[in-house]
Amino acid sequence: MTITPDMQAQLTAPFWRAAAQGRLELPCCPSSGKLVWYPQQSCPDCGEDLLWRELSGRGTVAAFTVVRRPLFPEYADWLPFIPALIALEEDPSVRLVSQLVDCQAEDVACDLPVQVTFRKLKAGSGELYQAPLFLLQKS
Amino acid sequence: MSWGKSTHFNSIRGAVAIAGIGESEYSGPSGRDSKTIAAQAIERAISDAGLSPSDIDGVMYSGMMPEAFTGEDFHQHFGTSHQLWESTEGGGMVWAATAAYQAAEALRRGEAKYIVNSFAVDWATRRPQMAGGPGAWHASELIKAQLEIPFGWFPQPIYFATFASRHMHEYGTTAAQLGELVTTFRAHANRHPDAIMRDKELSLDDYLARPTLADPLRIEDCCLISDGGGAFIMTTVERARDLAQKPVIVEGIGHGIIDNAPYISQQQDLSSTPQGFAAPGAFNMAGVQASDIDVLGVYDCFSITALMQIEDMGFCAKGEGGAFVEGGRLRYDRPRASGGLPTNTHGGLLSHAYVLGIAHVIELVKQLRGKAINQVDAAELAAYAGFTADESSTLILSRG
Repeated sequence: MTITPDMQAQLTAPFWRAAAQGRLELPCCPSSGKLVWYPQQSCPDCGEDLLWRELSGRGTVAAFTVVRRPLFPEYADWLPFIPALIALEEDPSVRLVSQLVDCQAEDVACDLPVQVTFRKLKAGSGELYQAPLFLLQKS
Repeated sequence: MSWGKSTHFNSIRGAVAIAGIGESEYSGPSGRDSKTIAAQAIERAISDAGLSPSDIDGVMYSGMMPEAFTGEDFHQHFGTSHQLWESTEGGGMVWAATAAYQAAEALRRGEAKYIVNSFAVDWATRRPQMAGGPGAWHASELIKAQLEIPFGWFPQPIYFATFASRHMHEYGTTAAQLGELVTTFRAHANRHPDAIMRDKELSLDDYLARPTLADPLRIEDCCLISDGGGAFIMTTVERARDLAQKPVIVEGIGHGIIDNAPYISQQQDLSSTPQGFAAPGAFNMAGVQASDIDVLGVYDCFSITALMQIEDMGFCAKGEGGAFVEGGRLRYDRPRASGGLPTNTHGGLLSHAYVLGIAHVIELVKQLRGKAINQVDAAELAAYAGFTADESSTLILSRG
């Protein structure tokens, strides 16, 4: 299994194209502005086409783990790393699956504020891709 | 705030009995394939009930498992050719509980008289090929593949390590409390000749000294990967009374599912399971409460999923699961009358075998027959808590 975001996948490619340009974009309802996550073909409330909108990149750590062993071989080069579910400022019920970077595991806790940053990732034999990752916000 | 829903079922209380049980050998890599394993378990279940293969006229299995033992496999294995009712709504996980619902319908409509439900895996044997196995489905799902896996949130131990961090944050649950649950199930396995971990003792100090794989989970918090399977035979209570074993009666079933299924990253309450949407319906159908249950089989793919489901079924207040499992409360020899809750008395997915819940149900049947290795005193009412991450189910059984 090779891990590289598919830039042709209609539902999810807009996310990765925005990330490649250093923007965090998620789809929302064109009339209410409410985020629709995960992406769907159309708004579940009004049926209109979704609009991709740039977000502040601020949020909080809903939950996280520190991966210390190669549970999945494609991630072996990343160890240790800190996958996290990020509750987004615009709608904390929306969670972005991401990673925390530039921090010590012991400094991470649930509910801490975070800010997006963009980094290049490469998983095993996959290609390089730029991803929205998160930094703990300095208090 | 609501974040999931309960599935409605008409009452099937008293409509189904479990009349026979059978298990394969449980092991690590064995070279056996899952159909061979299932066939062995089914043969033993038929024999346990005092039936013959030609009496079986219903076959249930999991439609999600490409290698499941189907009606065609049944005929091929047993050399039979009679009419078979078939359902893909069976197998393990949540379906080990809800299979009784489809079975009740088929029995009521006269479509079948004796229904076998089976589940088997050969994932230990197939593990080196990285084929099949518990991670394969998640990896094949488009949204997970595109929006979760590129960030390293995969496979399942990572999901539930994440949930565990939230539970610890909200409720102060500790590693030692998870370790209590793990070492209690291990102690059950150490007394159980069929358990894969029967010879491997584990003290709480041993557990705490082990490194974490994904904080806060150690390898001991994660289920085994096994070859093995089980089967049970369902019929009416009336017919079951004429068979070889004392019947065990289905008193209630329940099922719950999260909003945004199957995406547990979007589950609104990360320190709970959908068991909170499943158990109330099952208890209601059975006319009992959590406090009436003598023995529990809880789906323990991870220590934290077992702990959360114990809370979500109402055996203790939400968030108090950590303190609840302390002091050996889940041991088989701590019956309810002395404040215990005997749980996973065979060792569970953590220490018996990872056969996705079918062995939990079989162990509960043994308990209610009074024939378990780690027998709970005066066990009359049992509950199984099934789980597939985004769904939970509940099965209430009584001694017939």
